[in-house]
Amino acid sequence: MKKFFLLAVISAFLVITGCSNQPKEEAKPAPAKAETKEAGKDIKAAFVYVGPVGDAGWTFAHDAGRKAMAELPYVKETNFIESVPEGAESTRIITSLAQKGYNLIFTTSFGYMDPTLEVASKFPEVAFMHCSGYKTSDNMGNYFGRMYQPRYLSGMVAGQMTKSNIVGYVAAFPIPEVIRGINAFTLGVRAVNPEAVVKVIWTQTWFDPAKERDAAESLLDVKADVITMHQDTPAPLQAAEKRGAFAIGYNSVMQEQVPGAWLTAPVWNWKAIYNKAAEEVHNGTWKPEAIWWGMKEGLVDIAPMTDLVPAEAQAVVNEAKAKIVSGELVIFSGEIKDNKGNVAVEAGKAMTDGEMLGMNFFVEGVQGNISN
Amino acid sequence: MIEILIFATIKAGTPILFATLGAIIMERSGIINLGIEGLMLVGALSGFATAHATGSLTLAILASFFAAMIVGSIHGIITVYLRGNQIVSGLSLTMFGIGLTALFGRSLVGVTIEGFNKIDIPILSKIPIIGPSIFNHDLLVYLSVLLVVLISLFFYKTKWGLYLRSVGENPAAADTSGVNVNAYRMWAVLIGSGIAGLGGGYISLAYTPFWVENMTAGRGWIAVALVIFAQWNSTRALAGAYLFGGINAIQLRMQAMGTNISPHFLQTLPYVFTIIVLVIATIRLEKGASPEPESLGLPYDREDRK
Amino acid sequence: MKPVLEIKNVTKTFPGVKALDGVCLSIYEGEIHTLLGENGAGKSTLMNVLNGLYKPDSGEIFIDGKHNIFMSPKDSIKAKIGMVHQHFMLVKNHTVLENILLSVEGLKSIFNKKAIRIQVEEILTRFNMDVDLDEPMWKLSIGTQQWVELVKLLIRDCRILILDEPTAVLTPQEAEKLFAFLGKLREEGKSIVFISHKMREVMALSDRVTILKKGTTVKSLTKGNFDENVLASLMIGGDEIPKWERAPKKIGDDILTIAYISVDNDKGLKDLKEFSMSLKKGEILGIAGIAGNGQKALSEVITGLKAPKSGTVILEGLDITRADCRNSQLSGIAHVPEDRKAVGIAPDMSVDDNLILKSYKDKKFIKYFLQDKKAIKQNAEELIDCYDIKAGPPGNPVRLLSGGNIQKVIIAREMSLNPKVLIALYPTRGLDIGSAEYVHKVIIDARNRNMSTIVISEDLDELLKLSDRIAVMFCGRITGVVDPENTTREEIGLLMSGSCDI
Ligand SMILES: Nc1ncnc2c1ncn2[C@@H]1O[C@H](COP(=O)(O)OP(=O)(O)OP(=O)(O)O)[C@@H](O)[C@H]1O
Ligand SMILES: [Mg+2]
Repeated sequence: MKKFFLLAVISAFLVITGCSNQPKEEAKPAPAKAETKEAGKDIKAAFVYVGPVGDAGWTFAHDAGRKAMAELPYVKETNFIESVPEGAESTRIITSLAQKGYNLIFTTSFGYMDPTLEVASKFPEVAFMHCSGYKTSDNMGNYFGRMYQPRYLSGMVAGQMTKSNIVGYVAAFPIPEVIRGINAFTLGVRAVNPEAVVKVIWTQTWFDPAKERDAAESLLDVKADVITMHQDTPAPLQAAEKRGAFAIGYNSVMQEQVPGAWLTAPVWNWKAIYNKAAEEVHNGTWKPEAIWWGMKEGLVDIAPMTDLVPAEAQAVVNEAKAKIVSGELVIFSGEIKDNKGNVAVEAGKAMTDGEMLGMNFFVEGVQGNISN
Repeated sequence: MIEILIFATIKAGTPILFATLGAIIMERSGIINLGIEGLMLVGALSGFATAHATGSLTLAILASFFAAMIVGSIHGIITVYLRGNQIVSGLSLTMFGIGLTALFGRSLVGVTIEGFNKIDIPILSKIPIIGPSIFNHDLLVYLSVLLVVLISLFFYKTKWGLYLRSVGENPAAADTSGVNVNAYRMWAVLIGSGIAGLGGGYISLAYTPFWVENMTAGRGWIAVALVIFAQWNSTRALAGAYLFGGINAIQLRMQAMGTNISPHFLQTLPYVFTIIVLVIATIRLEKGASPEPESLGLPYDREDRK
Repeated sequence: MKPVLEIKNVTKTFPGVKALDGVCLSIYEGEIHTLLGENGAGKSTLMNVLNGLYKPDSGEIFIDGKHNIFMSPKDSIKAKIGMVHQHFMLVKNHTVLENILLSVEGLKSIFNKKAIRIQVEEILTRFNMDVDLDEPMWKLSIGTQQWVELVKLLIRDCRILILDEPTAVLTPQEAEKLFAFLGKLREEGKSIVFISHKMREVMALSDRVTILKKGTTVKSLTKGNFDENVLASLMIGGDEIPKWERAPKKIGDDILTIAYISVDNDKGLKDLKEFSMSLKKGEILGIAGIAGNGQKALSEVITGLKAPKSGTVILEGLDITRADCRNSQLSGIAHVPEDRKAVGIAPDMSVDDNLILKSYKDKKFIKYFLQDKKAIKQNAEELIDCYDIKAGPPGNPVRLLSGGNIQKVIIAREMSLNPKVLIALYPTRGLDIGSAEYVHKVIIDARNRNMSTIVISEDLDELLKLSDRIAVMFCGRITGVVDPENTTREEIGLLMSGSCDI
């Protein structure tokens, strides 16, 4: 009896861990120029994060955007709550933020979509921005970035650096966002090195450094010599460095942690969107839209490549980058075959945004399984 | 391939093993500690911070042990001396550990250290298969196995072990035999917490030598469950920890090799095994016997009748 | 002569109960000193104070004339006081040897089990005891557990030995063995504090008797100055011993028939071998026999706690062989088990709730789908009054009661079910004389109203007094059935030892 009770408590606890978070206010001293009294609303913005700001990854990148936004003169206060579990608990937290008078609320994980929608309907005065979903309402917009664009570029780096022609990809869950990244990356690899393959391992976790590292090690064991990832910690990259392989990161620059292996990383630059939203709310021009920005708008980018990448290789990547920004190079345009040999995108056609958002096949050159 | 698998299994199992051993020591004395996850984090952070500050891994691992011990003493004082609810106190300890390490760890995110390196045991590491898989680990792995043996000997061959077990089973019986129940329980919590801290230290000092919040990623909870799987026995804890580690290592490598077995299926295996082991253990147990310390979770009050 | 141990004005209060109220007691060297008193008089409490478990509110303890404060059992051990508790202090999941090791003084840090094993075996052979030292404790019968407790005491060098109702769970033969040994200890100059409710033992053994009542010392008497009647009247004071009368025997039909029951125990031995027997309506069937000859298995089979390997149990034409506990209880069988603390009660629940443990579904105690607290309380008050249960403050968990009072709770509850059949194992174990008589009266009265009873007991006096028929059990079988009015203790004794053709 005691045992079952214990197990029940444990599982209950696993579900609720982290929900005791208190908002961490970072009010800033009233700026001296407040008297100039510009027209427009003062901004009090709040952010709901799925992970800890110290995760060095996804949440960390969002928080960098928040800090940048806080520099704007009309942003009076920014506030964040970290490690908020998706689901009912998040509804409570978003509601309490709206009640506290924040007029611009960002929720930064897919699972917050419906809770945000629900709370938005109760607080029509507040502007809500949800990241990585697809629903909008009268006062809720959504936003995301075309991360697949810099992924493609980082794939070009990997394709030029691999000697074994095996690139390892440590990925969290088989969902469209991650699959899109893998495919774009692979297309990039194969654009410069048609011989190379990308091996994928699912860790089935967003956050478990030890497991992520072990996944990278199993890729290294099968001769991968460049490792990249769709995970939040530097663990897979450390594994690569330890074994003398190259590392391509994600989210933010982790060069200092793996100086001997770091090549580059596709990175987020959330500042772009956070500043825009703040400005629009301030001016009263904010509209709930579905924003999917790419490299052109500066929301995503490829981090500077290190000296480990030869100059010629860098030139190839930079050329492609210019084409993406100009719109000349569209990544998911035909002909693209899936990894079972069927044509997935016909020649002369490009995938629509809708198709990309629901992507659930691997392109040719990927070794791994989705359906499982 | 097989040596790689064994190697990875042992590595992945080691942090869980430390944590499970710590939990077993405490539970044998009758104290449940659901704060293992928090203690591991404390161990992970303090070890990492010490390694970063001093460059000494010896100091780092001592820091892991003693910092977790100090934080664990809170649970000890609350449950042993104040007779508080062990479940509540343990859960709070986990919350406390998560919060505390997140707070103090901020400045250490992104910092690197030189972690523990593999030690080749002379001669033995040259044996084919076993050599590279078993005798080629870092110091902490050997320490964890040594602990398994020591704890087993301690429980069954020493006076203190006998007293500790008696305290967990029937504190009144121990008390009337002149055993200081509270002291034994407190020591068990202290030592057990320290060992759980080593599990955290293993992660931040050997497995993935960096610091991020929450980096133990639920291993403390697996340990709490493994104690039941291990039936409060240190050797079985070794088997359980390596089983969890092993299945993980195997499923990742099967993916890397491109086999078609569902990773979801493989992920459920440890839990399936847990259930099977529990069922078998229960069937094999004679009616009336229980491997669970009888007074687990119950505070001891000398003047209360049981 | 100066007392080795002197207790002066010891007072001890528990929430809502004044258990000891200025008790004084002197123990001299080389004497067997009996403590006598009703259930709940405070005997065990006083002994627990001596053992260092309970800290007295006030009062003093002197050892060899020196003032002594016991902060813990450790101090008591240092003063060479040893105690066998009424409810054992054993670790059920440990082996017998481990249990004994626990009380070995100066045990080496890394001990040598073999050396201690030899020492223990020596003690065991002295008592002619047959215990497997590697057996886990929970497998042992209560009687054997009692012996392990004694060994635990003897392996340590004590000068004052406290035995809290040691004979309650021993067979008369075993009790004799114990007494002989206590006599030897007395000759060695040890002092023994002995607690028992059995007058015959008290008379045979005591050099001095101290009577406790409601937490105070009534009187201390030395040998020669007391007899059974004096003691009894001092003990119960003004209260009267309940009287009862047996209605003439009515021969009814069979109500319970047991045919060819076989049961194996967990050691693979046969507890019951093709056991057959029948119980008639309105009859009290006594079952005599030395504990461990299948009595427990028999009661468990009838009450549905254990399924037999073969055979049938039929109650009023209904096959209840495989009915589980609740079913058999509903079909009218009540049960007073052997191990009152482990089986008889829910220790942490209140006395009130324990008294309806088996009838909580009864409409009487339900109001709008919920428990009717008022009815439950009223029911408890009635039973507590009838059986004179010292229940402590309201809501008191039953585990805090004295041993005899727990036994009364069980009997009160079982009898309140108005059962057709009562299976009672050692029903008066641990009860003071007054209470034992009252329980006898309840059983006889119910018999007169046509209830059928199986009384399993080792106390031949009790059986001869109560039974309409006595069956004697040996080795899982009935070796003979006798009429209590036309038999002798010797005849039963012979049947009990199996000296007859089986
Ligand atoms: N630990 C305790 N907590 C609360 N009440 C207690 C405790 N120990 C004893 N009591 C109460 O003190 C009184 C005396 O109990 P005690 O066990 O000393 O009686 P006793 O004389 O040994 O009776 P018996 O013959 O039935 O064993 C009882 O009313 C009992 O309920
Ligand atoms: Mg008593």
